[in-house]
Amino acid sequence: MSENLKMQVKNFYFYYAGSKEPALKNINMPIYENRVTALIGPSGCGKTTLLRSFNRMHDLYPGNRYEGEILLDGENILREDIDLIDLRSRVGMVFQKPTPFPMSIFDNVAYGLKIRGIKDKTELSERVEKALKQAALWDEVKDRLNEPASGMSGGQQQRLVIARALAVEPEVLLFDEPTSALDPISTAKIEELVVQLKENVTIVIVTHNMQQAARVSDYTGFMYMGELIEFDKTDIIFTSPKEKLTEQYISGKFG
Amino acid sequence: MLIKPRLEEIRDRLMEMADMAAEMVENAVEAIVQHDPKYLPKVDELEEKIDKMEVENESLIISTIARYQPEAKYLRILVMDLFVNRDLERIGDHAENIKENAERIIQRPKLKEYVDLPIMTEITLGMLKDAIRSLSELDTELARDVIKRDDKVDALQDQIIRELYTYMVEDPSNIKVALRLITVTNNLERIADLSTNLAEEVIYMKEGKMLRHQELDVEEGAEG
Repeated sequence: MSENLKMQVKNFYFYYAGSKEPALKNINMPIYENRVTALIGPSGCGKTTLLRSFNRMHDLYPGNRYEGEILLDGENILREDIDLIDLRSRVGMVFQKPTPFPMSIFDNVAYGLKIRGIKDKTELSERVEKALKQAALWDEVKDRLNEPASGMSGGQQQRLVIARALAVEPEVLLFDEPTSALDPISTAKIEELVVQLKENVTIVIVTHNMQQAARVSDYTGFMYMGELIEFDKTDIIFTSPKEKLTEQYISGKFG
Repeated sequence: MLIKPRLEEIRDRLMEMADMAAEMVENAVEAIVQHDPKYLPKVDELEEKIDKMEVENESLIISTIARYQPEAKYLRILVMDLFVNRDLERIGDHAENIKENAERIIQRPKLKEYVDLPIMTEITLGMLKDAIRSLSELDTELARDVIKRDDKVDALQDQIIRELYTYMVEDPSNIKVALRLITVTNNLERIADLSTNLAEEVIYMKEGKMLRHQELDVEEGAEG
């Protein structure tokens, strides 16, 4: 398996507004192209904080501060003059709870495209259909595209949100606990979807569910108290991790 | 099911390994029967590949169990895959051992035209190949048939050894070759046993029944 670097975290520190202590300390890790990378670790270890740095979500609150570098295709996305709208369309995000907009299924998926100035009806419907197919939702909704998204089940809403993220053809997709609000069957669907999607996008997923990380990811990073303790192939992390702390966490000896 | 592609990958690798093991046995015995060393280098070449594959397969199977936490059928398959992996590697070791004896045997004139040895080899290889086929198709009927054939191999081995005794008594200079031939039959007998193990592993995968150390007729009796 030859790997290409899609993103790279270098000597990265993150400080929340007003805090002198960094929430993330000297993180160094690769994100490989067309692979699923999982971040695991106990609550408060910093995995979500790291994930949200990958598309500068922390900029939504003033006073947050980044140090070091996060490279996307070799370019440092922490630069002051980076276009955040452009960054976030290249690096999309799916949250814990499904966040459909209060509009129709079709309009939810078309939203990002319209913002980007695509007005042509044919192009819009083609791209909406493609995104819904990629998100394994098309067959379930093709006959009711104009119905409100709020009428869908939780699992469907989450796939709708994934379709919305996919419609603008991101290069990287970030998943923040994408199944923690879903039932087991919807969870299995999302997991299979994540594995399928890596053909087209690079994926980083944060999950509390260690077995989910084991099932879907190619690489796993274990974080603890704001540090990246170990990063390796998922096969290795879950069978013979090098660090004692990782071993303890994986075998459930924490807390 | 996210586990399925992994199971298929493991199955493919085991089938590849099984074909190599069978090819090793074939070549090692053929060298003795044909009294020709040209068959031997292939055995060494495959031995190296099988050893490497065994280690890789083991990690792959263990990490699959760790990552997908299989239950019921998938758990049975993966645990049996571990045994199959080891059995195939051992069959390779026995083939390698036959090869080492073959090297010495063919340095000396042929003791006799071999009659029973090719038959014993044919039955053993048949068991091995059918065990492999039963594994690839999870065919438990074929697996049960393989298990039944094991007695024939044991009987043939006894017969060959008895015959070799007469050669040794007749002329002590035959002892060197005869002892090596006996070692070869021991290896074939072990290969037949390991093929039986493979067949039993197939039955466990498919049906969840443990047949080890049990006669098939006992199983049939139990089923009524």
